[in-house]
Amino acid sequence: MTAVLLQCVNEVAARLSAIQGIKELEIMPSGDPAKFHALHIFYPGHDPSGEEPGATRYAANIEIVGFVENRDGAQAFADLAGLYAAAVASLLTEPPLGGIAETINEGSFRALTAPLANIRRLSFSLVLSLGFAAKRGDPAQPA
Amino acid sequence: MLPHEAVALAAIDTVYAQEAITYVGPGIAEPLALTVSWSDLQAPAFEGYGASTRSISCELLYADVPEEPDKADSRIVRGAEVYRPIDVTRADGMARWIVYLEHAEPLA
Repeated sequence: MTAVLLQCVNEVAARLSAIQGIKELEIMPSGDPAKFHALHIFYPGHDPSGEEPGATRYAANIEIVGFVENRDGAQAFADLAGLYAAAVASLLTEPPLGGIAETINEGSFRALTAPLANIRRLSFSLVLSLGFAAKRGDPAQPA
Repeated sequence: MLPHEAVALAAIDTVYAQEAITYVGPGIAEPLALTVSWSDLQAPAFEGYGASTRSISCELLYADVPEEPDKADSRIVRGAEVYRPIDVTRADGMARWIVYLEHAEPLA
């Protein structure tokens, strides 16, 4: 069985990869994107948020990092804002992640410009808070 | 600048200011062919674990360009690539502009 956390991440990846203009999508990458627009998915971890007979509830964060490049700086930011909006629209639907999760909510958003770089590369970090449940003692089984 | 520093700087320029560029910018009617010091280094850290951006800069001597390079109105062509200034430092101690560059489109 696939751990529920992995089901969540795979569902996030499937939805983000369908966004128009995405040239690269990676889960837990260890380097920079090679093609733009790019989306990177990081799963930093989770904590148990509640116990009940037969089920453990988890509070997790998923970080989406988006990258764009454009020789026009204003257009690069417009691209970044559009990518952010598309990512949120694709992920914050009901039921959460098609029912795999119990909750999904938008968290902090931060945008950056690559400093003193030879190309105008911008990125955003979007943190989503995620709640899901699994069978107590078996994170691969839904609650 | 002390006399011996000027001598040393001139010697350094003789060795390193060998990159052929064409410069257009404020106060220049026609593209100007120059040889400049060119630097291509790893850029400062950015989002993510990689380090795939570069910091490209060159040095434009006060004696070579009539006015301060401008982000909007200056372009540097090196080979087939066109660059625009993104950061201009006035280095009076060396009598030159240190200009960081990014890839750009030619001026219209």
